[in-house]
Amino acid sequence: MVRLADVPMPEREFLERIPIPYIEDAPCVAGPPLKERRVAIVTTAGLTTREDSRFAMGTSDYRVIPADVEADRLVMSHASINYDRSGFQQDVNVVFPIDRLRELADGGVVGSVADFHYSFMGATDAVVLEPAAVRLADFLKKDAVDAVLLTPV
Amino acid sequence: MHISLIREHSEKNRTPRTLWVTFELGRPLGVPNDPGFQRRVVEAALRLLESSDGPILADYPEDAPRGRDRSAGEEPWVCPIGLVAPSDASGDESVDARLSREISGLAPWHDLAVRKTERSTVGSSGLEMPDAAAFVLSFLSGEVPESPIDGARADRALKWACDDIRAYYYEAMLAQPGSPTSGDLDAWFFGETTAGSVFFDLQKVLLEHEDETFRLIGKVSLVPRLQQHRSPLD
Repeated sequence: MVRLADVPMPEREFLERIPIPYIEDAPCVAGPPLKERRVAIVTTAGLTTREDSRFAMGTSDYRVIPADVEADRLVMSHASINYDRSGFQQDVNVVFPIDRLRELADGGVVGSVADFHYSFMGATDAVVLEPAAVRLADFLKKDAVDAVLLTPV
Repeated sequence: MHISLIREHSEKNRTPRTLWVTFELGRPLGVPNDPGFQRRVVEAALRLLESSDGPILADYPEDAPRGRDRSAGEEPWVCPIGLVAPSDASGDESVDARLSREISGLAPWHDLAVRKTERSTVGSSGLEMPDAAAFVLSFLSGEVPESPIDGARADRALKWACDDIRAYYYEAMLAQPGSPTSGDLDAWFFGETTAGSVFFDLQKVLLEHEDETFRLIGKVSLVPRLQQHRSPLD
């Protein structure tokens, strides 16, 4: 979005007050070339498949989104209503760019697309989300993922 | 790597690789139904992996196309469907009847939206639209009705039913010609529809509820902060 100074009140005031954790140990690790990487999407958009349980306020776990999910099977149960959902209503890729990732894999820009992708509900304290994120890292490794695209809303 | 919608937040947390974009909240890839635009954003984010000298906070150079510019003389978006605004409605007609009529009036457009996009994001509650509306209206008395969703508490069912109602209205409007912006849709829903006025009435009830969970829904999960000024309470 534009810089916070350009956001109308009272939205700006709310966004300025959100506590942001400082990540002390976050090395910028080198890895294989992009064209060899296996990429997964992790979104905080509160997406679930229709078959999955929805997110509720304060939820700290995640949902699995298979790579072959059809767009019609995804719904959004984010706690916040202070962001645009009409983009997602028109095109799932504006939040969860699975088709774009496939195209980049087909074009050889990235190596492959992971079999599984993941969704959190972002209106939760990052510290509360951390245990689930650590568990999720293990699943990503088992899927041989070595690049993650994080998308917020 | 991380796409950031708020640069100031990313400056604070210093994640290893971040691409800041100028797009509105809710649209990290910028533009719906524009594969080329989205692909450029995804690739720019992925290219950050080619550097290990971080933390990296890169500014994406491309803006999403803006909505209509009224200062340049462009016409504002107007809802093309002849809904009766809540303030113009006959006092003889109950809110239940008005909401039911409004939902029925939007049905052909929502059907068209589903045919055009081959999908719908309505479905968080799993309720049919008339049932979702009836469930939401049943809270206006101040009593908490039984949840119509197996295994879900009434507060969660209420939140999901409200999400579905908004999604239904927005999808119906998006099927229309005229390309409304997100701001157009919010202003229309909360300023011109019976459903929007029901949301404000519901918010009033929930903010005074004895149960903290319902008060919280009323505070943060019904009306966007930028639409709150339309509340009859303000």
